[in-house]
Amino acid sequence: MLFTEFRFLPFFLLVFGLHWSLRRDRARKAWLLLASYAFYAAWDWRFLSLILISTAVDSLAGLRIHACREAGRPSRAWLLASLVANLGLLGFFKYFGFFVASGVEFLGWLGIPATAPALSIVLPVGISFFTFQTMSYSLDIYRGRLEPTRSPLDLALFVAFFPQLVAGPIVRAADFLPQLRAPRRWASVEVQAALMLFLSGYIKKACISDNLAPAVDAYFDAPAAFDALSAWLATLGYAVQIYCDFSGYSDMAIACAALLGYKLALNFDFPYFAVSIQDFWRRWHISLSTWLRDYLYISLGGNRGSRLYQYRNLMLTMLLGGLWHGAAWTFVVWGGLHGLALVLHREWARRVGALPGMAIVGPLLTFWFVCVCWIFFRAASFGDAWTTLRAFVLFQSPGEASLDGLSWVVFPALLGAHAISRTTHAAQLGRRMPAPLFALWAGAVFALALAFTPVAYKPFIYFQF
Amino acid sequence: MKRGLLNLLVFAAAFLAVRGVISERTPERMKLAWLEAQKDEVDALFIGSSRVFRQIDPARFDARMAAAGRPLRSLNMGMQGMRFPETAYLVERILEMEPGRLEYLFLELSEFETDIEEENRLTERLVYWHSWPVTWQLCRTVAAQDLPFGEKLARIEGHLVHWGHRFGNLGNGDEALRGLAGSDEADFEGRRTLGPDGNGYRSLSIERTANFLERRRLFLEDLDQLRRARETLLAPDGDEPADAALVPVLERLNALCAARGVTPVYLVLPVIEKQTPLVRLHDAGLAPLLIRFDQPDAWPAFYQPRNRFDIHHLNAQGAALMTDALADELLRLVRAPG
Repeated sequence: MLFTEFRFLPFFLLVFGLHWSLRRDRARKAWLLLASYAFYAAWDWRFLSLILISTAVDSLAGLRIHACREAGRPSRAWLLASLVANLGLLGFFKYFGFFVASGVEFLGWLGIPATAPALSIVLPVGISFFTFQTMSYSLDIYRGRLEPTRSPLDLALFVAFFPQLVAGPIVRAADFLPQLRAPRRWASVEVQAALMLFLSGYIKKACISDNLAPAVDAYFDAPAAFDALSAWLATLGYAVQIYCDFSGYSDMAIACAALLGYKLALNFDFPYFAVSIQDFWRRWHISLSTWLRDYLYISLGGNRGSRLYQYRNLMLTMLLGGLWHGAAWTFVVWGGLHGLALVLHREWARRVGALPGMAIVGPLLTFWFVCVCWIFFRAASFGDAWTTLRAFVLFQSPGEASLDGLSWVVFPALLGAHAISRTTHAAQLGRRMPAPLFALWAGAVFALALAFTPVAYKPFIYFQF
Repeated sequence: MKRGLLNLLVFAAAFLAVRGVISERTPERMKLAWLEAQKDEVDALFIGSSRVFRQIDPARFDARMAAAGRPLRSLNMGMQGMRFPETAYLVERILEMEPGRLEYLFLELSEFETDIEEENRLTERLVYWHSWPVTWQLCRTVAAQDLPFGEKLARIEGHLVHWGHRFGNLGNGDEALRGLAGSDEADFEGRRTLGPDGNGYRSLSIERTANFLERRRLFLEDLDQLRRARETLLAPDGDEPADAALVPVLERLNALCAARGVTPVYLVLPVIEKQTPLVRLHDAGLAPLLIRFDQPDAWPAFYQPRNRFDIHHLNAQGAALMTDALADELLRLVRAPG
């Protein structure tokens, strides 16, 4: 079920209505858990078992790690159990086919004939998100930063909370469990701000991203058929599409959670205004970048050790971050390019420092580089990526077809997407508006937004991750 | 609480007002707009699924009728995936236009199917005809059908979603803008539906996209299925009753046509399954003029591989044969005494 789907509206109204009409907090949480499982089951009920397994393993692991720590015994084995279980699920469902196919290809390259087993594995939606979320719970307990919850209901809801279950933001237990312990109050819900955020997320996803998608898809289906201008338009179009798609989803998730009385962290902060690549990663998919920093980069050694050692940690983190996005080498290259840029940026900052004019050049250069990286992220193969890259960087036109219709859409969409974000960032506007005026404005804007929504649903890009 | 309800009312009023303005400014979609532009020059219309769209050539039909001394002008209003609820809706809209010369409506008779095929789900066309009366009728039909509860719920939900999309004007924003800007350019779900000759017919034989080629390949790979279909169709009819869901729909269509002086001619095209519940409608007097091409003994050419594109459709050659046969059958019917 998508937030932009028609059936989400009655689903959410039912969840919302019953949630706030229940008096006991425990009943509310049980209702939310039931609704969250129903939300996931609407996609495929069979994979609910993975969420249950992940929840059960980390519930037990969390308690055992804590008990071991209290008793002064080593708890590493329980942490390993959690990591093996979660990474095992992720590895099997997401990467099994990829590694087997890559292995077969590599053996073929060595001249050793091999065939891949005919095994068709469905990727359970949201698996990358909920496994990371549950792992962070066990890791935080292991590091002594978190007390395990004694309530299985709280832990289950933390893992399965439907607004962020399938595509984040990746929530930390330390942020969410305390919210589950304290009763939610309707009086503290900022309805107008939440509705404003939902509406802006809807517009970004349904009106901007989904309308750009057909032209962008047309280009990336056959990049060799298009001219260089089309490569530019499609690449910029994809930059806008993925930003609006994912940040739109995040906005709607945060808004739904807020309407139910829960606070989720900001996931995007005007990423295309970033002044450097380091700044970009502070603004793009913040919940993932901070997760990778705290649980991977720091675990690898972080900023400790020699510079070379630090850069190795950075590269490994970004390569694995790329692989997290999808089981393909193009994603690894995408992560690798970002990693390389981060290393170069650190070296630059160390050796040269800030230069005059960087306030203007910095964002442009960063955006251009991010777009170059998006080519690898979006292209179906390295061949397509090279074709697009040559057209994008060297202005070489491999074909004559052109994306005429896109030229007047991309830049207004880019500016519009950020402008919409700004109104929500300021929150802001909704919070300050008198309620009747807000209702009038929201009704009109919602009717307009629906009219500019394509008839057929387009799944969120990040659902595939 | 009171203030909250008031705000909700303000929200709804603003939503409905803007929605209304957009609806007003949205030009008609599909072939209806195309027909509207030439409604007083048309004598016959063919309405139905891809079996109409891909198999009846109005130019050929008109030439055949003219050669027999009955000149008329026809257009093909068939569309991929069109089902009887849509046909019924389309007929109502067409008759509302009061086309001056319209004499015959050829309607492909098919089951009043209440499920939505995945390939047609949330297409602009399907959304378009999910007005509230049609949706309500479909939902009632589903509720009365002998289906598992979950299936009923899924079908009703599917139709309500389509209605919701229509109510919300989904996908109409750009056209509304053009309408507000004064443009009266009508848009269709692809100009392809008008066909190369601009009369609404488009043979499958000219399609070259992978999807069509794959269908063709699958058909050629298993020609035996056509033999099996022939055997099925040649077997004696079972004792199934008339399709009950269609009874009120046909009664209404026949009454509407009679009021406008239009003759409905029902068609059963060369399908591969028995259509007994539909034929029983003819026996019950609900489809008085019925032309059947689903009898391989009477129409062997339609069940020969050389005249088929795939298992469900004729190719250009088969379509030409069937169009001629249709004209001949019409002539036979109109010349028959009584």
